[in-house]
Amino acid sequence: MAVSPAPYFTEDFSIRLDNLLFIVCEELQISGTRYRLAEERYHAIARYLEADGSPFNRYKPEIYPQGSMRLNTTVKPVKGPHDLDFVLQLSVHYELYRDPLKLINSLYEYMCQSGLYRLMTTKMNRCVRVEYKDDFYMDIVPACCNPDVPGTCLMVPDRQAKDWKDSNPKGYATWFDRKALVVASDGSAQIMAKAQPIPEQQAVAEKRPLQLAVQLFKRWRDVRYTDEPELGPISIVLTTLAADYYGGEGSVSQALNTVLRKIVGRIDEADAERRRVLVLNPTNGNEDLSERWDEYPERYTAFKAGIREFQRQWSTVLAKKGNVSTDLEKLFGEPVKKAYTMQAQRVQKDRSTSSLGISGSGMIVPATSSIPAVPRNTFYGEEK
Amino acid sequence: MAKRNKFFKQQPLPLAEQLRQMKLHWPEFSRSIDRSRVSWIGRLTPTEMSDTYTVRVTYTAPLRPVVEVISPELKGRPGERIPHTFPGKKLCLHLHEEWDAANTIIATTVVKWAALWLFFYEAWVITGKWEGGGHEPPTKRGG
Repeated sequence: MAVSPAPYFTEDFSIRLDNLLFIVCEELQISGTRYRLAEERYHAIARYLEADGSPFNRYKPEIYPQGSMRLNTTVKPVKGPHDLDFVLQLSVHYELYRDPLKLINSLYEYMCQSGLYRLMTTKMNRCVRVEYKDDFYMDIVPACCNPDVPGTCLMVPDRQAKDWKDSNPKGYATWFDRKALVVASDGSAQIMAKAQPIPEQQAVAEKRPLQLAVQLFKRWRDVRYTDEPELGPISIVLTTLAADYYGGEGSVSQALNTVLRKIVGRIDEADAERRRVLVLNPTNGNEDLSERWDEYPERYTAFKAGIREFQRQWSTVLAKKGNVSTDLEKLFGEPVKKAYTMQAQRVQKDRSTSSLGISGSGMIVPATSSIPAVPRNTFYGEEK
Repeated sequence: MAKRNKFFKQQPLPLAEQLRQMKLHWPEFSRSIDRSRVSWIGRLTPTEMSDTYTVRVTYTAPLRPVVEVISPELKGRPGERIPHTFPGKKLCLHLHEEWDAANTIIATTVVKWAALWLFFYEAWVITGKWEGGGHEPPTKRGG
């Protein structure tokens, strides 16, 4: 990939903003080291679950990531541990386990038989949680096949409901991937194509704008509801809404704009009809991913207020076309500082190698044959 | 080549030359002359994601040019003083020895350094760190 011109030289606000958001997303995602650690851990758990003597051994267990780990939309939590979700899929008809609780119980008991996992394992409503000391937990959802329905549908035990619940993590991931590959016909896909990532951002640059928009959306949620996290919309709701409304924009900032505008439109429609927004599982129209809003209407009120506010703030950022650093920091917090630091360090590095020029409008640009490098200078201190 | 007598002060670059260079490089800058003092006022936008600043460069040969930001006001960070400034928020763009009235062309140095300063200032406002390098003064005199 071409390295020149470097991204921060671009004389286009949208591309520059996108480049900054790339760095923010890079900062937000689980680090490479942590990702590899998570992989090692789930492979270790998978080996244990597949081992001779495992009650699941005969059901050809398959363990794989779901949710943000699978969709590549991980976001570091503002505080607290990083949770990653995995599925333990058994090739067995769910009806074989007459009692759904038997499945989750036997997973829990088997994990507790291990000297390694015994003290780390907790039984949750739909999963067994393995908690590591280094701010990391892995939720393992046990699942059986549902051959009555074509495709990749699974049944998972729900302890509260004492029943099976539909789930389709593979189907959802396929749906999300397909949405992420949508390309707008209006040429907006070109915006990001022009942006040249800096090497540290390669991993993020390979992501689709939808994945980046989901990361930013989730991060906004974590920051916006930091004092009342229970009011914040859950990740699957945000991810589904974002993917539903993503219009194939090539630019992450534009993608976010479209998604927010359309969600606000949907809230307005629902308000006018005196009902709430339903966020249905795209792979199972009977499943309302937003069902908790019925039980906790204050969360729906908080969602509506938050989304309207975010939409206003984001359209202000896009309209401003200038210095939006404090707006971005309010929305996404600490990683914005990191992004500005990295850009400033990059400018400083290029300045030290006499690669920078200043255009006629006082804008920092690459030095060329017609724009000479800025002569060296040393910013001095201050007089007391 | 004859050795330069260090006690011999070189004449500053003729003011007409500084004026000509400013006109050439920064045609949008307005200028006013008051006897030996000349001021230029113009706008600098360091990046597409920056504010546009109106700056004034005031020069009385052979002293170093004084650079101030007229608008928007440099608000800085609450409770912190802005790095690399003189009292009155005048920008501290270079070491004393980096200004040589006989050779330094304001248009191609000082004004451009001001644009870079503004870039690093904006990053400092959000990050609290000055990434543009530089020196802290060893004494009360700065340049």
